[in-house]
Amino acid sequence: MQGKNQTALCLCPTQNGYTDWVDLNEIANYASEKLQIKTIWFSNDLPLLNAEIIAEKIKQSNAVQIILAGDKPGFFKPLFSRAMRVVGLDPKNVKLVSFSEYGAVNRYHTGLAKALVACAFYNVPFDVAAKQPAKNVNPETLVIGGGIAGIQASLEIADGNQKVYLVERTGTIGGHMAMFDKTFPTLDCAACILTPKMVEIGQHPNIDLMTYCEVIDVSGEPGDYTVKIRQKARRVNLATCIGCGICSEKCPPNVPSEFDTGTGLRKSIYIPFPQAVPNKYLIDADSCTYVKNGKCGVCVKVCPVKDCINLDEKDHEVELKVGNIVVATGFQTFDAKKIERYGYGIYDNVVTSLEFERLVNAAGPTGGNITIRTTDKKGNKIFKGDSEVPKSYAIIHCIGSRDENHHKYCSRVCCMYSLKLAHLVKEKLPDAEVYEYYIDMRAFGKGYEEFYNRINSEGIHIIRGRTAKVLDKKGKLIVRSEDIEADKLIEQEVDMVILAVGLEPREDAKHIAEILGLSSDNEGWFKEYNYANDPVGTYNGGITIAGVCQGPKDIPDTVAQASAAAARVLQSIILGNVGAGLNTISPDVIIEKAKKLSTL
Amino acid sequence: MEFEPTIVSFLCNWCSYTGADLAGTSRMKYAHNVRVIRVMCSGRVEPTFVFKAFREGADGVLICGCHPGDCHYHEGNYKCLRRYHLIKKYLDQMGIEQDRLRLAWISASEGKQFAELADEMTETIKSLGPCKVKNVMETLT
Repeated sequence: MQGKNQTALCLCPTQNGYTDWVDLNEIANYASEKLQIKTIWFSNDLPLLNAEIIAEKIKQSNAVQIILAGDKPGFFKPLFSRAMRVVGLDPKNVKLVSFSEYGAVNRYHTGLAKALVACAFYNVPFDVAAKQPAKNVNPETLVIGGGIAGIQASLEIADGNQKVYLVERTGTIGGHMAMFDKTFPTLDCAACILTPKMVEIGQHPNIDLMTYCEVIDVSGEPGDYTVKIRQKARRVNLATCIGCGICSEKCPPNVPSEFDTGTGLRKSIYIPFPQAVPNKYLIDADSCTYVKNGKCGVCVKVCPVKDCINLDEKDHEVELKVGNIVVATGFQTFDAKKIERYGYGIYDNVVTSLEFERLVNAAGPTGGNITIRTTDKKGNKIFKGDSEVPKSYAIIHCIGSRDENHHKYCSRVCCMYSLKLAHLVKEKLPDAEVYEYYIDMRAFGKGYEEFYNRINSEGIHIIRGRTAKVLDKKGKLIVRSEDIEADKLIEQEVDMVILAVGLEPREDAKHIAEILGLSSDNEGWFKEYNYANDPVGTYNGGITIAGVCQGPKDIPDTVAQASAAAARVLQSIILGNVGAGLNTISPDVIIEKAKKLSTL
Repeated sequence: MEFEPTIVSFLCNWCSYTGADLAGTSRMKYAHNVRVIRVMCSGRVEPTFVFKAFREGADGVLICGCHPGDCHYHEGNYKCLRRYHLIKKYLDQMGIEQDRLRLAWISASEGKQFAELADEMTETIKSLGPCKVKNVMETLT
């Protein structure tokens, strides 16, 4: 029989250099005061190669069981087992408690880590102690984010005959996919796949579409959440707007269009893009002359519908009661201005891949003509369909990804979309020269390698090597890089440089994580329950995640994950209950239960 | 009065119909002579559709599908292309000018191209004049 004083605890600090990790001192205090463990070691104080010394320490402490707790405790297990054998005890009495296995990865999770240690101490499996009775579930679901992931998840749930609220921050659903021209590797037109789905969302009787809205607060527990949503002032009545567009024609200000990533202009009263759902106008308060100066109101005068435009409308809040939440908030692209040597924002003809995507799109600002950037009378740097056409292009891979100074991870999509852009250039301008500079060509998916081989045979110069700098030489751009295969440094003169920017978590991802109580990893992507066998669940029970907000992925993977999230939601609706997630249970409750179940 | 032709167009649901829709929502102006019939795929357009359109008084027939390789059903547009050449030969034998039938690839983002195509087709048909097949058929029966 193991007594309380016969347990020794060894805490293993993180080896990954995280600054914000679980507070081990607090755990040591807790163990000595509450659990009355007398012997507490820290793994970095121990001579880790010498089992004899550790055996000596075990003998001195009179311990018969050892708990190894912390980051990757399994690393120390062989050593302690050997030491136990030296002392003459059963090596099976070395117990492992991995914090990261249950999502305790930063200092906010210290309570959870305490519960983990306590369960090991009381000899109760953590999963047994943490199991809570399932809660009744409200069958209505909230989907946050109207990109392809949100659209897919909403449609799957709504087709399963359940009510869905789809909340989108901008004036239209569609997200990033609506901006793309083609999808790789099939070269399908993105709009051909997306727009029928968007229309379906707009017309579905089970979907309540809330555009221009933001989630500001979530309270309650899994199965019964109360969600506060701020409906931003659209200033145009959704029910009565007929989408005639007269207001937009007469509206005075011209501002860069967010949908065209600043490559074109829009008015202050606008539809983000012609195929928007809902296809109704909205007013951007930041640029509207009336909102700024209190004078103008042209749109109200020309609008043929009575009382449709209300320039004095204010934001208001809506409250929803839902049972499950699907988070599909997506990503933003890396800001290429952060790497000054590539000249984005300095040289006009250095563009990001998303800007180029709008340039080649037939519905984009240039009508599908690739042209150089021009400055209009008001100083807006935009692209026009009738400007000069560049003849040579350089595409530089891995901007902001696989870079120690920015993001260490691979963004997964850049290699493939760069190849696609190269193909689109060749398709439109067969005489153009395209140079691709890559580090490694990551063509990992179904049909991707074949796509690479196909593009390779189209006469594109694919160069292996990192790019050092983009320079300006009398209006032309010089790309200075290495060519690993030819073993030399090269300089190439081109007309346009396309930067293949990586994906990164949205600026406000942290804020969203705080509202929902989600964990996020070091980079800021939302943390899934288990990377390998539960990539849609979270530690929060009724909240599931889908799409790029969980980690970079391409469109097929995003759609697959969204469908999986929907399956999880439908499962809980059919069962009528939802399991409580770890993050929603207080560690004290777990410890109390472990104490009760304990045989000590 | 100037001759206003009637052009029956068969648009595939996935690309061309959305493309025509884009032309509309982008407020592009194009010839009003084009009457749209939505089909799920350009491969759905049977030769009889075309012949019936002419018999009922159409002056021109336009078929639009996804770009090669883009078909939602993988090969519907290729099948349409094969049929198109056959129909053209047959039209000639029936005494209908080949230019009255046209096949074009329009993707969902090509609203502008659709508008241009509609204008161009209307011009062609205007220069050809009204299709006489309907009258001939009526006299014969």
